[in-house]
Amino acid sequence: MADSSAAGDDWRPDDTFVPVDRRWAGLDRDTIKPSLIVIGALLLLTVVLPGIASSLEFDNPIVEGDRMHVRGATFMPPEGWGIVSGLRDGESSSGLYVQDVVLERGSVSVEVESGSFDGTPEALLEEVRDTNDAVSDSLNVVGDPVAINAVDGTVGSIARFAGPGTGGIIAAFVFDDRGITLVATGPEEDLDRDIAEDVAQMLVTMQPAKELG
Amino acid sequence: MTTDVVQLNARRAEAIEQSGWGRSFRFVQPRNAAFWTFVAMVGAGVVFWTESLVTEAGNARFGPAIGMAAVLFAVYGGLFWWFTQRIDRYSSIPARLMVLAFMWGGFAATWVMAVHGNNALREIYAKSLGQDFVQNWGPALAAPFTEELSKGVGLLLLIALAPRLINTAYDGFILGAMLGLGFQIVEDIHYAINAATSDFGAHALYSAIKIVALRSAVGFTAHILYSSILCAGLVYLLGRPQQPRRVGLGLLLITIPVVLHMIWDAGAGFASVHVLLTPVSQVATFIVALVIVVRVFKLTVPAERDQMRDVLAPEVATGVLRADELEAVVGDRKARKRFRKDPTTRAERRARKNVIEATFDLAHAIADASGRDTAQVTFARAELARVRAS
Repeated sequence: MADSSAAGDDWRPDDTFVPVDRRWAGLDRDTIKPSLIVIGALLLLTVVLPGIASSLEFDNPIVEGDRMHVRGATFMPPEGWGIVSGLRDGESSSGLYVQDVVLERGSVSVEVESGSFDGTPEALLEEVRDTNDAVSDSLNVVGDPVAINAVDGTVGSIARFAGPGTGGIIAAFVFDDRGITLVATGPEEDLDRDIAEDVAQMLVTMQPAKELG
Repeated sequence: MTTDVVQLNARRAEAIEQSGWGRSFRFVQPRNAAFWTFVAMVGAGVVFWTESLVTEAGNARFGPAIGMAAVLFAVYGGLFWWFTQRIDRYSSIPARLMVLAFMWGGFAATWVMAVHGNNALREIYAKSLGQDFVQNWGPALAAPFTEELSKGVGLLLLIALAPRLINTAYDGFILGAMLGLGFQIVEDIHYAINAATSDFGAHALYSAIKIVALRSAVGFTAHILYSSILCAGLVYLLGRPQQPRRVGLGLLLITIPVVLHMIWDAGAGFASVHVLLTPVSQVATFIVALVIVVRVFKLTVPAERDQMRDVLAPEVATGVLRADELEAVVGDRKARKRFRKDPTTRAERRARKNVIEATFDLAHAIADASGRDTAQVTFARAELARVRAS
């Protein structure tokens, strides 16, 4: 509790000593307020703000004719899908588009990602299988990848994957030096024919895009 | 002993007592609510960060790049630690407290607080103001508030843990730099991970190196600087026994780094207005930030130098120290340089440089001994005489 200095005249209590008239429930009363302030800040950032975010709805559904733009490519999701992140083609005020677009419909989410890549779609699929959290972490690819043709003739590669209660589709295209991947995941029971057709539309409408940067 | 020396010794004792100089610091304080809060939040941050790091670094493709980035940032962090120790040359803050500041910044402020606040704010902006807005302005309107808040509240806990050791705005300035250093290093490692895993991990090592170089070049004018200014402001706002409360100054110094941070993070937004605005704003922010931090340093350091003067004044009165040596030690860099360069020979100049260092050692020995003439103080005096004569 106190410094155990040998010279009694020099003894003074260290920071751990708390006078009895300053204690509350055994704690130093003077330390409770700053701790509560910190805990208050913690609750603000981890409970209040996320709570407000969750209470709001994305009111940005895809309508007919919308094309989403991920850096290097555009694609056309079907009507009704919600945009979690990413921009429509032509929507960027700076002319720049991000490398990641996320859409959702019910419990199914689709993440389209782009990046520099100069290999084949099959090789890109392997890369994603190895590195994507949604795919590689205890999820198994079902069967061999098959070819899928986009409307502009670009050939991509697509495979299904499945895991305990979840599943999805993983696909890859390569336009020039740009790789585009699409990972659709969700509960197995929600990956019905309609979802499969929606994802297929996104894939076949995939085409390269030119933009700034 | 003359009356003057008696009075000088009394002022010395008061300076040592009030500054907390030489006091030890014990981290484990079961009766301190701040101790438990600190342990819980830093502990949680360490767990979250380790989980994330193990997941990415465990992948054979990314492990070497991330490991290399971590080593380089550790070297970078070491350099700044050394620099901070050098400028904290007066009533130094104990190393253990500096480590705690680093850990709060690196683990609690980042992984337990700021990352959640950032994500939530950006989602709120996206849902209410649209994706284009959040892409352009989201970073500038989220991180400056959540991150500076997360680091700043760390100082509140540190004050509660060591109330007798954090007495002046300069103490806040130094600890703020440590809070920012921890935040910067851990955030930079996270950026290196993102870079290594970008482009499907095809250029992991190259991408990580590029990020290390970029973040190292501008790192000093980022979190380290922001939180050193903010924490000096927080001490002015709160007031301490040795630091009169100055609410206006405190609020100003808290606001400045938030604004600097906003401008720095608004690169995408500025680019949406005009492509040249981004580099211009970032260069301007870099320069302005450096000017401001030097100004805050000069504003806050005099209190420490006054304490140093009070601690060493009896040594001048008793002939252990010369008056010009004292002025060099309590002066600024120019005063020290003038003192060092005054002699004509190289050997004498080197001796003067050693005299300055030996005088700082003497001051610390006196403070550690609470002003008593211990064997360590006698030795420090002898060392000073030796290097003066060499």
